[in-house]
Amino acid sequence: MDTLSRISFATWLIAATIGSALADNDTQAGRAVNESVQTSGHASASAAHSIAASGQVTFAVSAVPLSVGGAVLGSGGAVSAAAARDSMRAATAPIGTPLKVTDETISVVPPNEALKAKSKATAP
Amino acid sequence: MRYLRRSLFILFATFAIGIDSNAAGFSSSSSQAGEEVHFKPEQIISFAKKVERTMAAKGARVAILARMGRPVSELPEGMHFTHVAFAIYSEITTKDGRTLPGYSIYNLYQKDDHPEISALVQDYPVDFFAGVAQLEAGAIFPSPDLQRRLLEVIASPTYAALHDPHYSVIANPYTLGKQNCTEFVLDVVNSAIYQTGDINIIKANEKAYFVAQPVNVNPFKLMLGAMFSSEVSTSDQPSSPPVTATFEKLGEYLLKYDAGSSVLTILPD
Repeated sequence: MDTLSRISFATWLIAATIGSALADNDTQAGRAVNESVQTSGHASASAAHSIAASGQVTFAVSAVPLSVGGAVLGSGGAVSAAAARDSMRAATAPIGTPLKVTDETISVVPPNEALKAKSKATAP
Repeated sequence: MRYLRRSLFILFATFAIGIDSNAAGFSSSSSQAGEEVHFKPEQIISFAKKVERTMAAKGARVAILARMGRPVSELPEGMHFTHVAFAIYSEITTKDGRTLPGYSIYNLYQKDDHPEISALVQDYPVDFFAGVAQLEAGAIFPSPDLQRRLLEVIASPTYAALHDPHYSVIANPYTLGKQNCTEFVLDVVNSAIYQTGDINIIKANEKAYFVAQPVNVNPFKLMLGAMFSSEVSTSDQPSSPPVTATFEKLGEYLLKYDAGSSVLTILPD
């Protein structure tokens, strides 16, 4: 414990002595230190939780790239013929052709929502 | 011992660095406790949708997306964005069973409780931008040929195999042992370019053709950062100054070698 105390004191002394030299906080290392302090120091809700709580998002349970190497991966879960056609059209269109995106805002399922599910969810 | 180290760390941070309430992560997930919200949910939602629509208008199946987790005034010379990931045009299945077209983001995020360790995590544009310090996105659109190759790598086991979970915020892209989000993206890009999963071939080519960003930090400060923060490491930096991969350097690299690629900055309306 004596050794430990000496190390602790020396560390504190170094920290206190060089304090002003580091006050500008312009380094990535410094910011990483900041970030760790903040992470440990706040018990507030996360940014993602705040978005989820806004009630303006649709939760997703999975996402697959529409096409890979010429093979169409999506559209398997399309519930309507029109949606399936749209998926197929997008998957086979040349890269660079404008694509459709949903107007809904998609987000990962937060833990409190996942806990309501009766069956296992897959990765988002 | 752990308690003592923690106390010393907080003491050090208080004296030497100062606690910045605007601190946010480099490769931290938006679900991380302490990742603060700097904008109203409506602002984040609107901006994320604008980014998504911009990518869709360009017909991007794959884009490389970057966010600003820190205000630009706090970033060192040559750095603007703090986190980089792939955006993939996908078919998204919602919790209520519908399928919707949109982008899914493929990230390397630091673990909440172990910032020196990373994991591969998929989320969506609104999650990606949730904790940003500034509403500004960087987007690289690789050429159609490279987008096709990237899709193949990302859908294959090579994608996960290229991930090294040992995280350092200033990871050296030329060496092995540490990796951050941008180095991971660079490795995947070069895996697609050279059509190989062999990390030694990828690193040899990065050394030959990719120009990394020097991290101009006082060596003493860096030493202290490495001492007191587990996510800062110089163990993969054989020379001084340290070097790291940035979104800007990745953009320059692709503009030089990938004909047909483009880089865009997206701002809110």
